[in-house]
Amino acid sequence: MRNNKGRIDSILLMAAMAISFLGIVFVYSATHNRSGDNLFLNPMAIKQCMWCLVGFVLLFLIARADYLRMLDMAYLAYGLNLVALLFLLFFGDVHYGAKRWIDLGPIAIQPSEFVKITAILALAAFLGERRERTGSFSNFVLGLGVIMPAFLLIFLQPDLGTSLVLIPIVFAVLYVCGEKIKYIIPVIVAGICSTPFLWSLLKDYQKNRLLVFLNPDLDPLGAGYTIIQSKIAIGSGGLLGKGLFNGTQSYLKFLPEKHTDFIFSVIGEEWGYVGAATLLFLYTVLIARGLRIISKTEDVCGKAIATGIVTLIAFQVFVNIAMTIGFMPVVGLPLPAISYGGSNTIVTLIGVGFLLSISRKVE
Amino acid sequence: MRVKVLAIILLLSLAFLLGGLAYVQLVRYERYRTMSEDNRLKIIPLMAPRGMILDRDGKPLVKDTLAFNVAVIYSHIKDKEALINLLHSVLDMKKEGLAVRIDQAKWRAYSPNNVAEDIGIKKAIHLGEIEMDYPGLLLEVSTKREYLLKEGAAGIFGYLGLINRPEFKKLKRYGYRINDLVGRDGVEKKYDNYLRGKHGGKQVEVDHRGRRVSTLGFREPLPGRDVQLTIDVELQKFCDRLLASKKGAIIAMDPETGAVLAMASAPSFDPEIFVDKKKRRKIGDVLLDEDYPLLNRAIAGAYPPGSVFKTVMALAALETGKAREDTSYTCEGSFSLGRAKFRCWKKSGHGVQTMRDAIKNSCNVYFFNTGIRLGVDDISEYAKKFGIGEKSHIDLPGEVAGVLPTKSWKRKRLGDRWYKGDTVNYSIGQGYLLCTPIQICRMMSVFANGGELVTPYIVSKVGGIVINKGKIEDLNFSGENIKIIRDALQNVVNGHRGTGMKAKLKNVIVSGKTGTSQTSRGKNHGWFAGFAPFDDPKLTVVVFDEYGGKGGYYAAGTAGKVFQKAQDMGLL
Repeated sequence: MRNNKGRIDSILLMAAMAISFLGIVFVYSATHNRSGDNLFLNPMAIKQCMWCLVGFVLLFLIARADYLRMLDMAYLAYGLNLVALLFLLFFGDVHYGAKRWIDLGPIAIQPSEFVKITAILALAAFLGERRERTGSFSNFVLGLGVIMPAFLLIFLQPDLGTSLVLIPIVFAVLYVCGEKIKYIIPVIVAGICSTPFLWSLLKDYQKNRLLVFLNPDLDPLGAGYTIIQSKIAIGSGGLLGKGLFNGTQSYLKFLPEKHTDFIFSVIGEEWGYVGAATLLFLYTVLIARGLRIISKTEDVCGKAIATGIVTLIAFQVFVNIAMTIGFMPVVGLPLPAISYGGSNTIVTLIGVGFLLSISRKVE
Repeated sequence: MRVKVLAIILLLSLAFLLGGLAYVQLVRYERYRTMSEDNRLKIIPLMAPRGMILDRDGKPLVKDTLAFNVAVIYSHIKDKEALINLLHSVLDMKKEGLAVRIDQAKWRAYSPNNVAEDIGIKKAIHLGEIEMDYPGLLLEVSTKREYLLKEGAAGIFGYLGLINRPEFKKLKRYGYRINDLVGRDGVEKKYDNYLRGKHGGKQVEVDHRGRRVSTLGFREPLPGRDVQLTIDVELQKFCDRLLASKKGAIIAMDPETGAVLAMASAPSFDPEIFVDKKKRRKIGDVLLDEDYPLLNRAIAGAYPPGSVFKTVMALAALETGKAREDTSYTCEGSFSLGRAKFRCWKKSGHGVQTMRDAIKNSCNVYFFNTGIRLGVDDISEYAKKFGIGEKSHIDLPGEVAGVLPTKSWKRKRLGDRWYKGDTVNYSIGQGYLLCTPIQICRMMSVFANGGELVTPYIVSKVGGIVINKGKIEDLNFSGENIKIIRDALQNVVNGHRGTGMKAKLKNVIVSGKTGTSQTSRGKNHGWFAGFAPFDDPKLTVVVFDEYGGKGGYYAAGTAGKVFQKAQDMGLL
């Protein structure tokens, strides 16, 4: 096939592999119990391994395929995803005050994770179809409209973090794909001005998290506990850290959610500033290669997909790490391809797969 | 172009994270490292029991007993209502009070917080059986100082108090802790260093709920050493009872060694009020009591000795040759010095008195004459030999020296010269002279043992090792002179109508001297100091009746009861 000639961006691929590998190592470190278990007997680490495997299989399949062909199914995938979210809203079981998982026997999937990708694809397909009208007001409004149902359904779950992630994505994509700044800026400003209204829509625990972000000592054993313990973990890591598998904060269970949303605290504690900076460097490589792909792609669809995925990964990295060092309120966003969980890992690797697929066309 | 803007935004965000991490991990590292250690490590103190205080036969008088406390770990509580109901029914405490104390535990939610102290063994067993059914409930064992004689001998034992900040600063090098109890008075204070054990502790690694994960270090607590007193508990109790609802002091001492067999001071106090939270509100009453129950009158109260001092006068006169056994003066009821008249206690006068008569009748006029012949310098010189006006150096804290007046003392203290009238008052143990009962006890023991000054002591052994056998100093008095006074003292109690006749016993010869000292407050102090048996004294007894108003005659009666008790116990 004519479209399959280009080479894969191997730097991007290696960065993704290194990040996924660190994910497995630190899921193990966060959940091990010192009494002689090893990497291959730890159930969490094994599951994370499997998900990475699944993720990389999908990554290679997507990388080898033509992303434009796959866009034909974008609306269908997005539609099914929205149906799943709607189903959750009415029939989902409540975990941690929200309905997030669809139980499929041995595994449970999180439609809100997958919608990050399907929404980007749907938006790309939409912008591709209307490439002649780029810059028009209708294109801008309808572009926002494509994302809106996903945003609302997730917000109602309620999952503040995931719903918020869609906002920078949609604006970044619309901006990079040439929509008018004079439309984009007023909407962003209006959004900021309406935050007091949004406040009233938040659940009590969400309000608590935001208040506690402003002052963690407000409730040191409740909502503020996680922030305080996470900062202690990362801060006590110092320059070089306490050594792999030697973190006391995580091992002694002072850190809640240490293998999921707060896995970065374990990395910061055990590997110190050097380790944290190394991980940041790997993400920077990933993001920089993604940006390079965006700038080289002429195709609107490719640009849209790549922009969406790069923004998705960067935004999640930023919010997650800033949250663990207390620079941002606690919102449940995972660290891409590191935090324990199938949906997060697979979605991130699928995203990287699309980046690779686009890269083959420009190389 | 637009991609560049996006790139700048994203890369700046990542740079911001790099900076934030540097702040948390490098700038604030020390702070978070300390917090992480505090999280991880806990020192579980293992309190060492304080040593016991034993009587001369090894019977415990003061000891640490087990106290059972009820604590809660707030974060473990599942059903607060049920817990409150349980404690309400078992401990008989008000529900509101319990709720308040349990809510207070929220502030240290992962460690045990006491809700009720010292609940008694029966309730403790009851709660212990169902402890497991109530998560968050914890039964803790601690020690409690128990004073088995209650208010008895409190002056000897002293009491304990929480260490205060300056003391802690001074003592922390010696292993004291911030919540330690330290001796505040008496043996508890003087021998604190021995009684106090060495606290041990466990350093453990704990998880987020405070549960032990591993033990990193262990130091065994070392119990304090037992302190054995020279006190005979039976005699002590008897003396305490004699002073019940009175003010004053009784001392019983071995005149040969200085070993104190009983030392009672009244009014007294219950030392447990300072360590038992349930009795704590009585502290205020004790501190505000105008009769100063915390004052051990036997060593820390100085009073005019009155006529018991005449024994010193008589010996001084004999030793200096200013009087002989047969020197006599005529008492007509008063003594004139210039225009001033000094009265004898017997208005009609004693008539012609030899020294022996004068001591027996406690004739003031005889000793006024003797005092004028001796002069203040000689009186004070001899009084000093007897240890009057200086600390006896008994092994108890808080002793006072009293006052031994001299010419220079008066000039310095009152800015006036010494008058003959001062000497006259001094001669009968009045005026400026102030002594403690323990000084009088020492003084009388010199006559009992034939001329030796003993240093009183109250602790004989620490941890089973003898630390004190008594210290004796020969005063080099003429044996003959001592004998003259001894005979006279025997006559005071046993002679016809002697002033000390109330101390007379059937089967044992008691000797001694009474005293009635006038005070500025109107009511007199009564004194009796004596020893028995006459030939081989085993016991010196001093009775001091503060503002008793009845005089030495009645104090002699009290002393007689003590001698009688000692005889019944086989001590004489």
